[in-house]
Amino acid sequence: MTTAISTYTNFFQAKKGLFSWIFSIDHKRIGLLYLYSIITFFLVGVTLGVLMRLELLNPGRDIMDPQTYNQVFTLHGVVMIFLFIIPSIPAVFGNFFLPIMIGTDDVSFPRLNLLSWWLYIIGAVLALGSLLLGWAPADTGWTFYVPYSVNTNTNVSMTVLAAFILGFSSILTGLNFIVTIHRLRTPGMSFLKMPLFVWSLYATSWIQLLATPVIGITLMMIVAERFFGIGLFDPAIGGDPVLYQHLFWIYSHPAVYIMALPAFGVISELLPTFSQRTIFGYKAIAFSSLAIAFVGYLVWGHHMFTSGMSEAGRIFFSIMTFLVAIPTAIKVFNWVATLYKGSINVQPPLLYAMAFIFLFSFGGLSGLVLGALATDIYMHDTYFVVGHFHYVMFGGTGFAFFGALHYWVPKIWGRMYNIRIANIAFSIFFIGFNMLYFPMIVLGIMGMPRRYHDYLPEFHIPNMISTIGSWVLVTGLLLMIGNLIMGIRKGKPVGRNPWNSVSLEWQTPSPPPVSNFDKMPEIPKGGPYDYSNH
Amino acid sequence: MVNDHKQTEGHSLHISSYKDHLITLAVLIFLTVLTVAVSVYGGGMGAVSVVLALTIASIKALVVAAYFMHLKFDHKMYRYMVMIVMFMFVVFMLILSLDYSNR
Amino acid sequence: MEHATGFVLPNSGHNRDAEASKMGMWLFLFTELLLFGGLFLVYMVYRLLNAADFLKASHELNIAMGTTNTIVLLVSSMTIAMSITAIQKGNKKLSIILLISTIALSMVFMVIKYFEWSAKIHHGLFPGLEAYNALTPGESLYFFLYFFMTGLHALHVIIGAIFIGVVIYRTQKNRITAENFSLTENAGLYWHLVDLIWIFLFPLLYLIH
Repeated sequence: MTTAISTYTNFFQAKKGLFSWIFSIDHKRIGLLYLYSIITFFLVGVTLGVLMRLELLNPGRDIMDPQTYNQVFTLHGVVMIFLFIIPSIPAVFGNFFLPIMIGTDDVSFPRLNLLSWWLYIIGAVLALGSLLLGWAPADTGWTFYVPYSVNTNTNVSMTVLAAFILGFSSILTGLNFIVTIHRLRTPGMSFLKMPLFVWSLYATSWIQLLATPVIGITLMMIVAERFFGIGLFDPAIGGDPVLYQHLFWIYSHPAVYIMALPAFGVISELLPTFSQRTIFGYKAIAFSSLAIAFVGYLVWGHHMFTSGMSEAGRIFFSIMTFLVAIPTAIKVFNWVATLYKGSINVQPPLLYAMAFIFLFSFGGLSGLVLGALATDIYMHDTYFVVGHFHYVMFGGTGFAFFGALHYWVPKIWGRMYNIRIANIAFSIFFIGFNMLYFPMIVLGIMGMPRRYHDYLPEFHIPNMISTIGSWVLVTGLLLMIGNLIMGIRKGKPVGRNPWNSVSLEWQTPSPPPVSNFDKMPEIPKGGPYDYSNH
Repeated sequence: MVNDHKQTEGHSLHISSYKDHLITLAVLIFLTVLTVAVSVYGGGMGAVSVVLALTIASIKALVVAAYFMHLKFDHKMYRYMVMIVMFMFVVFMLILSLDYSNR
Repeated sequence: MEHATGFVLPNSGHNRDAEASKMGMWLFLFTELLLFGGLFLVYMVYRLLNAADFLKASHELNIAMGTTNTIVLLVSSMTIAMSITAIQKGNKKLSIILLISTIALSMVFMVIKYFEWSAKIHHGLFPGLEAYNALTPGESLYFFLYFFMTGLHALHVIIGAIFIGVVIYRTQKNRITAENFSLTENAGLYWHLVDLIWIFLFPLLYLIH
């Protein structure tokens, strides 16, 4: 079927030129501005990671001295967390598809949306600028623990200011999405008829809104301490360094749910489409997103079990940590049940979705080891933790992000990439991923500490495997990105609905017109995932 | 670019009168005087005085929110949102107190 | 905005929507509550650990000035609430007078604050100055929190006053009317938040017993 590209003006064609993009208030263009910047910063973060793995290829000094290593892992964390993972799915796919999925033509505050992107860019420039200014990037780790962060002579203030501004970007996006979901749903789409991706964005937006200010004020306290020389966490004047950790993690734990919930939302969209049947347990998945958002605020102390908290505190946080695993597990069961007896269409998005379930579940289970007080004493600050969070954040959110890309690229650009190459790239990526991160789980159990630039000889072989894995992973990643770019430029044109999905975004032309719809969208009669007539 | 087509709902139809606002202020000033009096003259109450001061402050806050900020007359959803946020904050306080009072 | 296909959705994101505007403002207020909330949490912890020192240090504060400031802000909340009533009733002039009164009261607040702060600095009780360095740990923490919290609050008073200034300007230009007064309402909400924060700061800093 020939596409309608020549008979209507899509959002790419409406206005041309750089300024029409960077001053655009069209949510679709803003989503793509985020995509281009996020992928760029992701590659910066990947490069920093590859450098770290090069240093760890062998014991002793390979390519950098200890101080540089500290700076590299600090920036790697800051870039990956604040510039990549936290914004990734909401800022790119949330911006592009939230309005379309609820049947409207933009978010409630389009200009605020543009401001969010500008703040993101300013924050990113500051964060990367800290690398260059005086060649003294921060060396504290992305967690900026006191007292070191207030005493060290590196560019902590600049990095912290960057994080503050990036936080504002995140808050404003969350605010925009909440109002949009409340006010702009198409007639007939009640909350319980919304796609699950929208539910996940709703829950995520509340976390962005309420948790981010807490780290905002905490970072301001760090800056105050650095500039006035005395501070709120200084034991010499009765302050408590652990209080910093409390405040830091009150945001940073919910932050991982900002990362995870949209990823869950993506998976909930992919599985019904590629099994051509309705999602199992729609309400359970919807409400479990809210439950995770809520309980996720109560577990932060599990990052601090060895810091000197009281026993009462530790026990409380451990119990809450086990509790929050329950709604997550409910989702996993529902997803697997969705696939059961479905008409499975094995395409790249589905591969990423299935890899997500496997990698995230594995990472989540390793989290239980860390949530239990006794085992955490042994594993805290070892490579076990590093393996755990890369499995859930990269194997989880990262894979969901790439799955979303493979799913929605045809809608955004109206062209299909090469499926075979996509599958090959996926396989290389998946293998490389596990080669890179599984040894870390082993190393942690063997006792290798994290954030060390050197290690004992007995840790050599797993480290070597891990480093080689990083090369395999990067190969798969570059092949994947290259294939997508080729597809975008020269791929075969596709129509409105190449994957045969019932969600509203597939009723509109590919690429969408500026106002998203060329006719009134039709909500599926039997609910948001009604495949009964397909 | 903003269309001039207005959404049909908008502001609630209730308009607080000037008198309503004056009464609200009177209540707030009374509570302020009360809390100062308790603090200056109510010696020897110890920990109770903190609880009392915070209780009075909370009542003042409730009055400002309900009347000046119009929560009482607006869509119930706003009330629930405010309650959830305050609840969360109280939970943070409780958890931190749990840790620090047991050290 | 190009509607190239000619089709316009009824639920467009580009429509003027007063309810969305209000909701957006409330959500923003939640972020402010949690921003200050972080400081209140720090205050709570350190007061728990340094009760006696906090009490002693609080005696440096002037309860009369604090009470006056509390009442000033409460009255200013009333004036801005009344300015909304005025514009809802179509009384543009009264609305502007009440908004100006609100700003005037905010300036009274800032002047009193200025006197309080300069008195302390004069006595060397500012982070980095001599008398401050001689304080006990708990007292230092109290004063650091005092300056940080009242300083951040004062910054919000200034921002609020500017916001109200914008509302006055737009009301004068008839861009705010009885049918379209979201901005006034939102400025009011923001201002009440500034008042609310002070309602808690006052007893916690001045009325420790």
